[in-house]
Amino acid sequence: MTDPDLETRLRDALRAQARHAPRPDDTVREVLLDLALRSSRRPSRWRTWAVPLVAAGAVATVATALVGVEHMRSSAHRQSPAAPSSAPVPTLTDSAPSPSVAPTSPPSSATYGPSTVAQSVGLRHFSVIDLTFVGPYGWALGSADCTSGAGQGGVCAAMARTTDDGATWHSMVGPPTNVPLKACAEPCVQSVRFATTSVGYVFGHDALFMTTDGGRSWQRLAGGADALESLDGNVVRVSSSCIPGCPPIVQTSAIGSTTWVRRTLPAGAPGFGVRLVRAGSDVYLLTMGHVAGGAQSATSVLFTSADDGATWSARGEPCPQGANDGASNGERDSVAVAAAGDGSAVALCTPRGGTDSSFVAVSTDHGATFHGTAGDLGSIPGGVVAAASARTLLVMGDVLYRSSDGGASWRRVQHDSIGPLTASWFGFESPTQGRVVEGGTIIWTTRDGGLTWSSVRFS
Amino acid sequence: MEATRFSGGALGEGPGGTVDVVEIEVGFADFVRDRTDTLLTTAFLLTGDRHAAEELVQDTLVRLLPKWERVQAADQPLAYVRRCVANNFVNERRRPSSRDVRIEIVSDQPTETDGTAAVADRDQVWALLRTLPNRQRAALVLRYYHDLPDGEIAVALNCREGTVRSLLSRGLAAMREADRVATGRTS
Repeated sequence: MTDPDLETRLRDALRAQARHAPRPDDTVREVLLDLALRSSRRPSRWRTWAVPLVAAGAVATVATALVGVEHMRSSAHRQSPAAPSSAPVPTLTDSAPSPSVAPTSPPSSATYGPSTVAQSVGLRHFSVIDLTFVGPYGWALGSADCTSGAGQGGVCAAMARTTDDGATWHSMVGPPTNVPLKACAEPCVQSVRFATTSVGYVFGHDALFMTTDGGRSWQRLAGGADALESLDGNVVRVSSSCIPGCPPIVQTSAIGSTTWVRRTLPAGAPGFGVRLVRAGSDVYLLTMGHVAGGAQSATSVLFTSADDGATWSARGEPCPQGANDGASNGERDSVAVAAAGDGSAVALCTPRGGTDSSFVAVSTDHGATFHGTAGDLGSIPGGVVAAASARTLLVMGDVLYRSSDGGASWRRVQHDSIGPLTASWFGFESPTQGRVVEGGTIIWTTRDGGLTWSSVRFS
Repeated sequence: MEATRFSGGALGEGPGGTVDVVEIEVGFADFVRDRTDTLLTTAFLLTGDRHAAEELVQDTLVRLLPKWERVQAADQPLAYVRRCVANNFVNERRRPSSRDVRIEIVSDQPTETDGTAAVADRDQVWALLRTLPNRQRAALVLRYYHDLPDGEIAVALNCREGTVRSLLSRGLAAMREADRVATGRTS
């Protein structure tokens, strides 16, 4: 045998053996899981998203707000805050700013807002239902006109993403699901959360899908999720076997994993709605009682975990109860909860009857104890709460309220150009940065703890 | 997924200024999804074992993640990572496949059918390749599968070009000798 013979045979043998190399799927998954764990443990990452507002309200809002398919760019305004615009620029400013938040920048001079440059993104009538952000990367789950297939002419689930912190959005292939409109056929999802740039989830009560490739493909997992939040290398999922009335089931999983571990929740959780928020290793699960139809003694119960959902403590109703004086039964129900990165948590308390006003209860010890605050929020229909810190709080009711003194007093955030503000979603992703979705078509962003807001409009 | 550079969300500093970690991770994830299959092929030819190949690629990629910006800046990121796979292979002496080289049993009585004989011959060459020391085997795979020139093999194996020529020569010689012995035993 000569060397050229052996060289030829060697080439042939290597080409033949190459066909027996392992498939890449397992390795890709393992490496991306490693990436997911690393990125989710980054110290700056935290999740304090408020859960989307009451689903029915959101559905109604979305169903009536399908108005267009283009979006407005606003990034330039962050560099040129005083740039004039030829069109009305929606702005939100706090009518009485807190000096402690922005001592050198009175809100009246803030001119955040979209320019008039519109850009088609290939979707008609895109309307946002839910948002999620990983650093400057964001994903918006929503609906839009179907572009092909049997549903053409109708409304389909849609997804858009941003790579520049919400300044511009681009359509992407949506998950193989339905989203709530007037009705929602199986599989129905209404929430989206991304844990990393690769691993994300869309979910509803009866459906849960996961992507490990940034949304290019989705894998359906067993069961559904009423709430799901990822942080600190893992995912906490809350579901129930029936609705309403069954106690919530809490499970945890590594980010990107299909294996879920059921966690034990102390007894006594009412099963008529949940709110789940996370900050650091803290997890807050608010379980709500049946408050409709004149039900009595239906207070909520808060559960807290300090170890990413592995173990839980029951904290009872965070809202202090009032006296039954005849005019009111004194019951105050917590209807929303938010957490901030400083270990604080806040619950929005609403009266069951009578003429009492809503207020917030604040915890500065990771949810172990709450104290009621004096600030009077009046009568709030529904309501969601967000916390940038123990002192900087926001409540969305009929309008947006902001407190810079831990709920002792509240001021309305002026909303001077686009009519009544109705948020379908509200949350903070850092002590200063938060988002509001209004009417499914406007995403408001604050970068100063709710003092000033800029907007991107899908029109 | 396009990855545009921006300053928002900056989490670290690199030689070129502000580095966005999320952007780097997106680039890394894209590379992993797109290139793992070809890296696994290289790793499988090096290790001769599917498990070890997966382990080698996974280990190499995870090690490269903290310095992924350097990989992205390379003229050919795939070639860069492939070199790292080969380098990791020759330097990782504790890897099970470097201790436990399994020799597949091949037929010593080829049939008269040309196709079967060809398969048997490829199996025999493959078995001979796997008896070689790691560095010789890596040099042969990089030359005869990837067609890399001496210089690039030298970079991958962290040696001089003269050493590469020596590895190739000695590897082929060892295979030729083993083949002669095997042929003599069966004749």
